[in-house]
Amino acid sequence: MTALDSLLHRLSSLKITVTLLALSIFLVFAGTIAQTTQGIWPVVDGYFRSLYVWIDIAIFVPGGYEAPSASFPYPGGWLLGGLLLTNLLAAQVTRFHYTWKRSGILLSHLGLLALMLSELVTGLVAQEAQFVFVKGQTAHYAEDIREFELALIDTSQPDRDDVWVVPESRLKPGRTLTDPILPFHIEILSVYPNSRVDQNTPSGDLPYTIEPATESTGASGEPTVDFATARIRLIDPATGKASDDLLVSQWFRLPQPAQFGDRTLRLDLRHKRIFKPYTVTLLDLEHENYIGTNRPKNFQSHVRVNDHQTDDQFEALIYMNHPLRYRGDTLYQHQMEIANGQSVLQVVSNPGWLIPYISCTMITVGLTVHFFLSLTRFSRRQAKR
Amino acid sequence: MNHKNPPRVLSLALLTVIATVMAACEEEPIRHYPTRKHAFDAHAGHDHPPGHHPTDETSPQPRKLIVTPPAGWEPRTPSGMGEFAAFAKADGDRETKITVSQLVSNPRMLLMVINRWRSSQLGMDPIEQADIPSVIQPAQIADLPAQRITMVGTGDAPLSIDVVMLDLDGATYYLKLMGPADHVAELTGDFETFVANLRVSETQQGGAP
Repeated sequence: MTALDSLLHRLSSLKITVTLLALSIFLVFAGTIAQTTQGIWPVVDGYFRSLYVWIDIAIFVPGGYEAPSASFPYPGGWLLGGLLLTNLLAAQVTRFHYTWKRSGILLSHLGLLALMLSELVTGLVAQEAQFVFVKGQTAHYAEDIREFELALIDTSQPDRDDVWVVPESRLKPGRTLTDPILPFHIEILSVYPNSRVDQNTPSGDLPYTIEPATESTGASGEPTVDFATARIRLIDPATGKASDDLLVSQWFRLPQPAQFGDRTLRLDLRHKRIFKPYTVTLLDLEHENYIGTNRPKNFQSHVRVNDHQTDDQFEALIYMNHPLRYRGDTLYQHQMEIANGQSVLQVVSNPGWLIPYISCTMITVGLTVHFFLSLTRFSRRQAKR
Repeated sequence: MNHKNPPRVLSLALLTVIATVMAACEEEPIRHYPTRKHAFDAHAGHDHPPGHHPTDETSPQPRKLIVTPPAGWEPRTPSGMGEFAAFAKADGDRETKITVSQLVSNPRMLLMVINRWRSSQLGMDPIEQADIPSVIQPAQIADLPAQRITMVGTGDAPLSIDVVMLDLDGATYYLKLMGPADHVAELTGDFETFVANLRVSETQQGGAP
């Protein structure tokens, strides 16, 4: 037996399978409980789309009792999923016999592998965002309202602006960003994923205060949007000279002006922008109720799509249960406010959307085949007797 | 194929999956791109990397609502989501509050806040998106079109909420009068004067929320 064989045998252990499944059950339990205090997407990212997570003990303490301030490390969803995948693949290699008798079970296991991989594909590359526009406007990018990003815009040049975009995952308090792509270092002093404004209380040079606020939770029952705020400092890498503390917030609806050295800047903390190779113009919108009621019968957006790369141009109607599919994106009619002429289209891009259908079909067919093969064998044995 | 001769293809697949998971742990990159200066469009976005429709990153700041405290009302510390000014007036054990809050304009917010008031503060059933036009009335703030919604709750001592909403340069301002229904009815005149005294700043550089 080679070293690889020996390793694969160890990895294919059923004890490992059972242990990993038990760990997964507890992870799902903790991730569900955690949504009483955290938003659904931070939990999905922190618990399930991560290698490890620090689970706060307080989430298990019922309200009204004093919760200890402690947490413990625990394997995240991707680590457990990766290990289960490894375990299953190792079992396929070492323990399973590739015969017609086992074909049903093998097909079912391949379906299970595909199902696990589909979550990996979705977690890595799927995007979900929104086009929000009023009649006559053109949307050039979609906004992911679950994430924010910091944009630094250098407006010093007369003919163009330079934009640097720092994703939310890099905006960690206490961290200094020294990426060579940046013209200066950025020291992150504080980050509030959600914040509120108190206009009665001045703060420094500002006539108001922006304070941290509790993030909306996955158990709140109402869709809410968090407004992030951060305090940063720019540092000249050559001289080490630092700027004053700079406040950036999603409460500021337009980029904030700042001067650093000879650079004239605008700082913008905003929802994550996903630029599309096409634009969508809202030509018209329609909202019908069933006669004599206020029950919606149809929301409908009439849009024109303009592709700058292929020069494609066409018009389309998007309404309930009738999305527009274009360039791998699916545009759904999400919301509409007819009084303001505003329409919201949900833009979903998931290259792996077919995999769960395929994997479930494989599992179903595999189990059916296995059932009939077993039934046939059983019938033959009975006939011999 | 048997267990003593594991297929190399599956071993490679195993390594590929592990490598993919490891790659997933890499941080998202910082992006840099130039963009052409262009006119601002608050809803349609104002920056684009090369290859996309170029527009502007720089633009004037939005106008903001300037609040004059209502005469005879006490200032209070704002506490609600997006709230930035609050005033109260008491008469015995009856107290009514005026609050001013601001949220980024988004059609999802209007239905959400109306239903939050109806469900959690007035004990009323939530409404649907399609019901909104039937419950709001036209109003005016500083010569700008606004919307008004008046709601009276249920129960023996019902609460009442009177809200004027103004969309202004990408933000929605909510001016809310809330208290016991009979007290609110007495103070509606004060509220209407407060709303009439609101002003809107000119477009400016630099900004407060």
